[in-house]
Amino acid sequence: MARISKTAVNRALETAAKTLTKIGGADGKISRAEVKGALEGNKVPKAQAALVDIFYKFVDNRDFRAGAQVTAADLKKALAYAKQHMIARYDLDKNGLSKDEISKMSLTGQRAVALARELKRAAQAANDSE
Amino acid sequence: MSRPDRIERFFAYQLPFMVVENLSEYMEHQGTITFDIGGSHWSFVFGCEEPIFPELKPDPELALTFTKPAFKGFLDGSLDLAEAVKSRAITAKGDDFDLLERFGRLLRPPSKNLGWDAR
Repeated sequence: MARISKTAVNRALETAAKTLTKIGGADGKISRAEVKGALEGNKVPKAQAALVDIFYKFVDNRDFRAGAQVTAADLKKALAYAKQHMIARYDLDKNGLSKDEISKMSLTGQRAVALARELKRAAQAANDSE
Repeated sequence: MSRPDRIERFFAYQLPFMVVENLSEYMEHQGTITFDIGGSHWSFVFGCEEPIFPELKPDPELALTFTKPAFKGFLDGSLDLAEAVKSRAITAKGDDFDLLERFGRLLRPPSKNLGWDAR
């Protein structure tokens, strides 16, 4: 798996935020319908589409202002949060995991999925016996 | 500075790295899983700016408890999961087991190209 640099992540998020602002248009508000329409109408460059979709959902879910539409200011705030807390904090450039560690993490992930199913089975068995 | 132990390395270093690599999977979901590992406390929160906390967050969707040997066995693959659940070396409170499956998928190499190189 190719290692992702911090610069690339920051740049891609900034590009996604800019694209969303453009989608919102002159009123500065970005609605779910506008984003859906832009994605379905291929108005977003293909290489950006997945991140634009995910980043919008992230901002929307974060609920910066309950009940409000997503605005350009919300995007800016979410971008700053992502950069400050998620990207900057974990030094992707210098401390990336080795290939071996990544493949071990993948096995741990498979075990987490297996554990979820085992716990589900145990919970169902406990419910059935009540 | 002392070297972090295996559990701390997983939560404080390896897991955050995989979150950044798998932002799509991470941002798509909401919910909290807490881990009480023989008194070592961690919380994993989906879809927020801070994924990992070295404490037990209140009202998680799924609260897991592990004995320390069980969690280490879970990480290194030596643990018999069915036996560990049966013997209560691992227990769960809550029923959002799908959230744990999503957590597992976060640890895999990303399947969706988010276009980090897009300009």
